[in-house]
Amino acid sequence: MDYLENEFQDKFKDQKITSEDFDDDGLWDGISGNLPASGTRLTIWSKYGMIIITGIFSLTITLFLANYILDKNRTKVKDEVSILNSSRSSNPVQNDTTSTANGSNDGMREESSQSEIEKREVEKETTETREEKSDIQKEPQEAIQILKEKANSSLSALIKEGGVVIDNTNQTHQAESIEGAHEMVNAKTDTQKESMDENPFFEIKQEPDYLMKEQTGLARKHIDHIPNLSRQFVKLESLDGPYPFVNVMQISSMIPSAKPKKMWSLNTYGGTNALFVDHRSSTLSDLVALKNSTDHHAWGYSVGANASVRALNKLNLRLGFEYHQTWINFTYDTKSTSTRINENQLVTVWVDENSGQVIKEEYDDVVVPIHQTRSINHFNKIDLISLPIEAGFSKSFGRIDLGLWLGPVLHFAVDMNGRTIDANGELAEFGIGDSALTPFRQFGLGMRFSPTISYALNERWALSLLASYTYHPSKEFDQTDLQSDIHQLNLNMGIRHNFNAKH
Amino acid sequence: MQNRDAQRRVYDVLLPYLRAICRRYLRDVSFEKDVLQESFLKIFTKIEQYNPELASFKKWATKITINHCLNYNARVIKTPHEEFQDQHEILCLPKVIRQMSEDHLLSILKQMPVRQFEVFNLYVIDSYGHEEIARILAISEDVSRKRLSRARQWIKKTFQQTDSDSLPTKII
Repeated sequence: MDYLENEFQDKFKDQKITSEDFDDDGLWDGISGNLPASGTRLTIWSKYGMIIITGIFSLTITLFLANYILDKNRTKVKDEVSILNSSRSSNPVQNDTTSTANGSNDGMREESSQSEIEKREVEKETTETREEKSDIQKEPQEAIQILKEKANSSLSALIKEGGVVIDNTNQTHQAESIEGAHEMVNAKTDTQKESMDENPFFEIKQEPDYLMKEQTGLARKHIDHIPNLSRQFVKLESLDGPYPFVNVMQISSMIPSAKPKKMWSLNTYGGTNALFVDHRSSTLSDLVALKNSTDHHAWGYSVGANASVRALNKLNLRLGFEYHQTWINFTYDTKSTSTRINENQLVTVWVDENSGQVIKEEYDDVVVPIHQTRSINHFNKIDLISLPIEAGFSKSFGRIDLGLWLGPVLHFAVDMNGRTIDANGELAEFGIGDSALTPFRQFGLGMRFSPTISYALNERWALSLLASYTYHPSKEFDQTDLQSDIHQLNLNMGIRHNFNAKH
Repeated sequence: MQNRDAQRRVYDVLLPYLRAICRRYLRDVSFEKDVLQESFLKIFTKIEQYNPELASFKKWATKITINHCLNYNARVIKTPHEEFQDQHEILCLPKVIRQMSEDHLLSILKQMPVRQFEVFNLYVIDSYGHEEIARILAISEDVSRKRLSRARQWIKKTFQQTDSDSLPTKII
């Protein structure tokens, strides 16, 4: 046995095959074509990928933390307001002021002086609180200023008509005369102005239910900080008096924050994709049938992010950036027949028919046919970067938000390599530079339809499920009239952060 | 190593050796180009993983190629379309082995059961130990030894059958 194995080792160990018919250069072209071009291409892409992923992750964490801190601060401020209110309700000076707010001009003047006392008391209590709330007061102060102007103009109009004036106890009084009413209104307005100027949280009371129904959550935030003047106008709506001169809707329109804001959101997502290739041709039906039998869909993955803005009431616009690693499963069977010579084979035996004895044997080299079926299963890789620009409508059902989007998609192929059947029906390889054989153009424009569904976790965060169908327009193949349409399906899951544009 | 010229020089030096490896290990030599291309790509892209203290560069490249060949063999075995219809009686005189061409000898050896031939190739010709073979083929060392033993029996039966000059009397 050893001598046989030694023979084998001698023959095969360090064996070199240098036949002339081997296409060394062709193989080298195939190898070098698949090697990184500059040696830094893969590294650069992986670096960019890391930077983008890190950026998205950092942004998400920052927004989350910012949201968390804001929520904490808001809770703290509300707690302080509650404390302030409770201390004010036990203040006898303020109670007296409220109880003596009715009556004649003298009473009103007395109320005015008492309000000054009250103002000083409140000032003492609220100096610290006001400092802490200075940021929150900025927006309400604008609303208050508008309210003051509206109130003055409304009251002036009322006075001219001999109208109605409200006091803190929500009672109506018919003015005796225009002058008396004017004096009363001035006294009242001054008191209120002083109170407002000194403490915007003065006289914050529980909001009536009818107001809650009319205001958005955004408006409510500001309503919380509107002083008693606006409250009184709001309360007018509940009165049955003959001159309800300001209603809730007017109040809403006075408050800047009650207007719908542009809603911005950032969505990051990832998921799976599949490419379906459909070949068609008016003249090359055989090639179409062959290529349709060789190209099959395969699953890849996608990651991306988009920013959307609510442009109109329900109309949204969004712009995205996506990376898709897609595959086409290329399967092809080739059948071939070759021959091999087996030396010194027994080919003929002459046998005596009578005795059955072998008369002669003939040995010769025999050509043996070899039939082979070669099954090729190759995954063609196509890496795309897509920039979808979409418009869509959305509708909310409680926490669930449904949306339909439509728009063009710009795509850039960053890598394409694989195998295909060329126009001659022969097996061919392609790289990103072989534009005649690649399934995609290096740059193209497609169309996308995308239904989405999202579930709001809270005001700012939502989980989203995004499906999309993208049609990539046909591309001519290998200088023939064969067209290849590509249909791309995506199913992604992601997380969305909502935030408002600052005015 | 990203210099194309340097890569080409390495390619030119290694190609004859790796082609021989492919011819010897592949059950279906039509995959030769595929295997060579994938092997060279791996060699060039993973070259930073080569440790000169463990093995020579040629041996490292050979091992990569052998692994690719074995992977392709696994696919061929699993593919139902793949049928070799050239099964025929083996007749060979050991006295003329030395005069036989490598291709011819290899064509006879390749009629050995594929699993046994893989172990035989690795152990006898490429001088791998059973431990290494077990790791490459993902089998146990005992299985490796059994396959080698059966391969040797097959060779004995095939090449010593004609020692007795007992020629077959049937027509092929």
